[in-house]
Amino acid sequence: MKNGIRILDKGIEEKEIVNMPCCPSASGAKR
Amino acid sequence: MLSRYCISFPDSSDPDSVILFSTRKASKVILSKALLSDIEKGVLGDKEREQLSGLGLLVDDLEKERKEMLAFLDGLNSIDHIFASKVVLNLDCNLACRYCFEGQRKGKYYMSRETADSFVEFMRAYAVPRKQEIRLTFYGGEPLLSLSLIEYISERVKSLAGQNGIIYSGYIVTNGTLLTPAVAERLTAAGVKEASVTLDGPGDIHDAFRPFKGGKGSFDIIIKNLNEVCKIMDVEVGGNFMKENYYQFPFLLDCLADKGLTPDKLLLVRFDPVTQESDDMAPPGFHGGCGCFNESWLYGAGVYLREEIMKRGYKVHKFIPMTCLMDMADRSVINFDGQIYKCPGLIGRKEFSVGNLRDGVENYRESHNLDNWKNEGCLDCSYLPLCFGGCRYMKLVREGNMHGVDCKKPFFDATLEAFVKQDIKYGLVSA
Repeated sequence: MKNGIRILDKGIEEKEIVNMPCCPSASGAKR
Repeated sequence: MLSRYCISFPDSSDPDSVILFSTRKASKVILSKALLSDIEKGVLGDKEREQLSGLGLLVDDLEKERKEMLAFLDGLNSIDHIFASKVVLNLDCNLACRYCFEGQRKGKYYMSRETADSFVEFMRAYAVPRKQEIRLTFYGGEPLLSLSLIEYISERVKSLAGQNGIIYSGYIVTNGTLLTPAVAERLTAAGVKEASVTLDGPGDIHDAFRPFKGGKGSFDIIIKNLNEVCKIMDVEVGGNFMKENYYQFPFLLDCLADKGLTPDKLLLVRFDPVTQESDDMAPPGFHGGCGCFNESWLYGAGVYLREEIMKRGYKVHKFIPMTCLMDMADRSVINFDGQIYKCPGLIGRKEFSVGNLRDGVENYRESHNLDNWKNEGCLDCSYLPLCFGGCRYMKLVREGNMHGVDCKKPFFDATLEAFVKQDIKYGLVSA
């Protein structure tokens, strides 16, 4: 751990949220 | 100071550290308790402050952050380069699934060529001038009962997109019984490259819940198809579990591997609870399903099943903010009759139609209660970016209206730490 911080995940940008499918329940295999 | 949307979890491997998770960015760090104390005292060094601010874990001004969050969904819409629709090609099916949420809406209802033409013209008018990408998900009923219409629409949209420098991607949600290699070849030739197929647990459970209309089980034929089709197109497996059977779903994963459908062959595996439907819509005699995320059995079931999937090496979605179709202006569901909806669960509920292919989409902000989360309680809630007022469809089924919010705080209180730690444990992170 450097300076008391260890980055595990830098996270995502808003454009990546847009790029993901909406609500998995609605977009996936529901029947 | 810590962001309102930053959550701290104990670090089980080091009592002198904590895990910080941003619900807004899905960033994760391990932080020493000494630094956490510095943050709380307001004496953090510049370098560390800059680092943690860049990850969305620290903010300078909580009031400013609140204002940003109020504009968050508008911001997503403003950078949205995608037009995406789920196309309900028919409401017919060769299976008789016990819990199908389309239930009594089903029948010999098929999209006509004229409606398909209107849909292509709709995209020419609304998507082509403004968007860089078109994504269509072919949906039903069972969409493969309308295979020639899939080809008809997909080839036209592929051509329309190509002429205008737009990316086109086609997907299909199918029960898998008709998804033979020959059908998969036709789909991919038409631009449909990914299939989502449902398997509800091991064979005996799946066959009890998802039989053919004549009563025969559908499990074996789906497995047979998937083994061939996964060489032709990307395949995602989904499963719908209930309180009574979720603990048996890991046997499905073992069965998939035994049958050759190893993790490298599947794009993703996802298990979701069967959702409740209102009595006037659900299949006759079916009254089960999950009406709310805050059902205590679901907490353990969701974490348990995700762990079972991940530990066998199958891929899952990372835990990040996800949007609802209702919140995204250019996401829609096109019913077979050309009516436009904002959730698959709403099709056929005429009062929730937001328009049609001829006249376009009306303003549905009020009818769908889009601003339900813009209140003090939600804006102060650390889970807001993962929730945005919850599932309006579930609330409608449960309470008969979409007023207020479908608060998922108890669900996240009980599960988020475990989900985040699963992502860390299995390396599901953004470098």
